[in-house]
Amino acid sequence: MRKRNLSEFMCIEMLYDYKSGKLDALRQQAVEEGLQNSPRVREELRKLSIGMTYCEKLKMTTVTEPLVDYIMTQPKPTEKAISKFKWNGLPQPVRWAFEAVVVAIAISLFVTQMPELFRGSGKKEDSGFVVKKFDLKPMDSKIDVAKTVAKQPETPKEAAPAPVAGSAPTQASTTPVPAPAPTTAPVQAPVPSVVATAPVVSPIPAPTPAAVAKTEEKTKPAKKGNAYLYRMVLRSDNVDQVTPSVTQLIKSLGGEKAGEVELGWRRKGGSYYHFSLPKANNQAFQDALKKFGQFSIVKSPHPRVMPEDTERFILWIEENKSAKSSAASKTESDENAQPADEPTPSEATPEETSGETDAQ
Amino acid sequence: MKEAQIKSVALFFFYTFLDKSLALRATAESMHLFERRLKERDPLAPKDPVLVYSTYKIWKKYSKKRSIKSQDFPLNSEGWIMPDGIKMEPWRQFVKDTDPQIYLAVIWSHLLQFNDKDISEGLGVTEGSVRYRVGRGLKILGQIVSPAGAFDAQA
Repeated sequence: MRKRNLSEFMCIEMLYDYKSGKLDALRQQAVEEGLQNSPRVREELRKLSIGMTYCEKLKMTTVTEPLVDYIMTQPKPTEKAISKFKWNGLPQPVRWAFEAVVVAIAISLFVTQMPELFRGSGKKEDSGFVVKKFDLKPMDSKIDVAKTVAKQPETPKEAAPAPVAGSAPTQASTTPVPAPAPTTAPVQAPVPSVVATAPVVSPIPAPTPAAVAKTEEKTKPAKKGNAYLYRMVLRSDNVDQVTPSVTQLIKSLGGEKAGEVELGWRRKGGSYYHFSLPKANNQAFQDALKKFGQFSIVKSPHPRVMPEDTERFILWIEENKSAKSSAASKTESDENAQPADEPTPSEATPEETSGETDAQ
Repeated sequence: MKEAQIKSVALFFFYTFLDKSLALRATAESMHLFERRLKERDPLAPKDPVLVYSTYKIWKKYSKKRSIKSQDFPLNSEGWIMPDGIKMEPWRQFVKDTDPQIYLAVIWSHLLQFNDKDISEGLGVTEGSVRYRVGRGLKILGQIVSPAGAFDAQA
């Protein structure tokens, strides 16, 4: 093996390993040569030896048994903290402050988090419409609409005495539409004559909260479907005769009432239908309806979505006015400053009104 | 925990802090850390690296707290018994003037008799680094001891 030659610096750096006996034979020999040749290396080895001897003596330090016992019985930091924390031992202001902080945190959490929770369970629909809770305000608008209907020229108001007619419109209008609010009940009472002369109207179930909830459920649309309805107005010479036939026709084509009122709901000046019909029977229905008179049909969008194979209709069968009666009605309508054929089914029906309310 | 481990830790903090009260507190805390770390490790793995790690962690923590007023020593006995014929002044100066990494290596290696591998594993350094620190520390210590005549190496 080739002999190693180490510099003085390398010898000094290897002195600890040399002293510990961790060098291989070649390096050990090289360091020994360095020790012989260099006094500086010898001085460094002397320091190292003194240091090691000092440590040999120092490590004889012993630890007493009481100290070991004391350390072994020392509680853990967590135990120490728990033992120090005594609630009843705390000063009263500190306890009050702590309680106040806890209450403040709880309130702030409630205030910041609870609205989120409410919003999270809100009734936002897929269609983008938010279904709001039903309130009674729309019912007032129904009464207003009904007012308009009552002012039509065909109304039996012509036969009624003038003072009653003058004061009655509001009262008469309330008669066919049983309002849920108890305030309208006394209004109906003083107008027996109007009620007597008006055509007999089947009682309409009031939109109870349950019904409203049902309507809300219905307004939750499926993602796919028909978001429209057909508005039809049929003019007929004799509404009383045509109404049962149209009802029969709708039923025979698989139609079903879509709202709360019966098919062919008889009202002043016409009959009202709100129904759903299989899509396949739409054309057949229109063809059959032509037999009863001229009609107009408008397809209009509506937030309430129907299933794919079903369409929704609102049909208003209106009395076809003669020239004479229309002239008379015109005079009367001028007095009332209300257009005679203004009321559309969409405005006058509870279903529509509630539907539009839903759509808001 | 074993008594030998407690003694090693108690000696380590005695040599580093040279303050009995502080050393006692640090020893107790270091032993709790040592136990916690042992639970996370393989029970068959060597414990000396964990002891080195625990003592080093607590030493770093307490070395920052050195300005804190030392408490009264709670034991009636001395706690640490020094061998006869040795002066502590050179050691005190050594700890005061030397880089902590160097004198800590000397303590672990030559006073507590841990092997270089365990020290290097506990500190996360190479064995060569440990040996270099120990050698350098011993030379410094020898230089401090020799002029002072605290211990006659030739004797």
